[in-house]
Amino acid sequence: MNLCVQNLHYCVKRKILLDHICIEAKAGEVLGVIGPNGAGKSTLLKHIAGILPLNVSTVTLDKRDFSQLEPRDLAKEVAYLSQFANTPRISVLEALELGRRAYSGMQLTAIDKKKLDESVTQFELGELLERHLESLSGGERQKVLIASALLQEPKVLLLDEPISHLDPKNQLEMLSAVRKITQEKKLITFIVLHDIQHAIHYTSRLLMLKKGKILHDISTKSLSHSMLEELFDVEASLHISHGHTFVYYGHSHDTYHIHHQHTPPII
Amino acid sequence: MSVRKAYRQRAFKRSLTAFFLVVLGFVFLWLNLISGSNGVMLSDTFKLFEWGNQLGMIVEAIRLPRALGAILVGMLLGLSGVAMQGVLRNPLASPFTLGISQAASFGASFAIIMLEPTIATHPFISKFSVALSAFGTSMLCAICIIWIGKKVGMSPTSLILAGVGLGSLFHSGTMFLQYFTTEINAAATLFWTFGDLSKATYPILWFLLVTFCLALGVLWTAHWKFDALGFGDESAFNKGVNVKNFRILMLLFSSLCTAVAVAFFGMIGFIGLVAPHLVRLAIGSSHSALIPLSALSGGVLLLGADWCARMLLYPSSLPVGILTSFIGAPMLLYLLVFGGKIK
Repeated sequence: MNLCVQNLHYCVKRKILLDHICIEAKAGEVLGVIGPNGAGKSTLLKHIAGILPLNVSTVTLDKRDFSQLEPRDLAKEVAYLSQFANTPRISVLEALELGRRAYSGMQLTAIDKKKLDESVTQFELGELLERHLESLSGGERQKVLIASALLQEPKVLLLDEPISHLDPKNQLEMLSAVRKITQEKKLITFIVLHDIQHAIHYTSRLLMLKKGKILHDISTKSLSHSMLEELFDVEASLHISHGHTFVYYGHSHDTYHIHHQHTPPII
Repeated sequence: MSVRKAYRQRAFKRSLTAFFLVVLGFVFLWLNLISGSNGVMLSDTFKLFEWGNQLGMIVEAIRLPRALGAILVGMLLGLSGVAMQGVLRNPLASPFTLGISQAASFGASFAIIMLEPTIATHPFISKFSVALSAFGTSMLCAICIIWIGKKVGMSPTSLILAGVGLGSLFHSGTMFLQYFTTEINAAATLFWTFGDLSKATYPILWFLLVTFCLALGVLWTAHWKFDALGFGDESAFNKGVNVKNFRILMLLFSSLCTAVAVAFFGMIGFIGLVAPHLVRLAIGSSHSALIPLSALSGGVLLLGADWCARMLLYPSSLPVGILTSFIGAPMLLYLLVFGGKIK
């Protein structure tokens, strides 16, 4: 299965938001989309989801042209988790049901209910089923939204900053779950992240977006500090400890530590 | 908890709410049928089931159509309210948010003042022309709002602003007509705006019933789309909703419900606003139950309000529109402050 974005170009009031983007992605890949604010990360995801207008053959999944699909058919191909979604006062059960509506409409079938049951077991949502979404913690709510998105049985999963409101434990759990599901179900996952640390550890490929252009499209392993410096216009260094790569933004202490102190000396 | 158990508990909660509303509805219906110019006659209860007596004739000709009118108008307004609130994602939206009532009022005033003043003396023709004109301008207002909305991407805020603008335009039109007409005509237009259910007749009721069934069918089959819209337009699209088309269709049907009710009975405020909120407090915001139960609750509320309007200042009776606004406003404020769940 191949997702192909070809020559995706998008302008609003003469401002170029996406500049002839081309991407090819394979099943089982987790693509981290990183870049500064306003680089076009969310805009790219919204185009792939078909929310923003698509030209013919701009986004295709194995020859299926997303611009030609009705919203209900598109929902079976792509699941999108928005960065700024509202929270209606519906229960967890009803939020999960929404994931199956593209298939069955107003009346869910026995198969839908079986899939709902499996999802509840997989994400351990049993205790939350009757609770309203707004009464859940950030982590629980995000888990429900991911579960609902996966109930759409999509081939492409688009997550726009899914961990920005979560504590470290929930962040790690969420990202591990996304990586595991992507590999198990052979999805193509795009995930917008601001934390490069997480991007390095949980993605297989990095798309670096700046001013609507893809600056670099690389395997995560081949990330270098110069790419990050070019992307964010700040000094950056990569440090490896116990097999893990860490990013440090700002000047390098190794070079300047003799002349530089962060805090004034205590007198 | 398993999904099956959650479904069972949800069904129980919904059935209980529906049962409570139906029982309350029957109590109000009974009170309406035994109350009249002699006050509340409890002894008339058993006579209701006897055929051919004088009470039976009064009930059949006057009290029953009025009660059924209250139920149907309340249901139409409740349905319209829940659709408006859902589709505009705004808890303050009601059948009157989009200026539909002001448009109806203009239409009615136009018919009373401008369309052959002579026919106003003929009660049947005048009622018919006024209702038609009110209905026509209401739907014209709805179509204008949708047309403006389409130009600006059908965003809820733009639609509400367009509604407020058009409402104000129609209101000024009404005042303009009233200013230049005779005192009698001005009084007639003013009196029309007091929602009054005594105008109910069986043909009108059939018309209301058909409109209600049609609108309920369209809205209910799309219940999940309202839920999806709660997450925002983009998320709703990704759940399979063609947001722009859905919003246009729902606004049309919601306006149709209000226009039909207002055209025949004048303005009856707050039912469309309060009924969905009451149901939300009991069962949450899932539209699969919210849509039919808001309609039911609207019908029960208006039936109760009409009985109160007839009995509050007995022996004289108030137009129900005055009472719904009078009770509805504090009720909404109470829900807002103490219910704490209007969102």
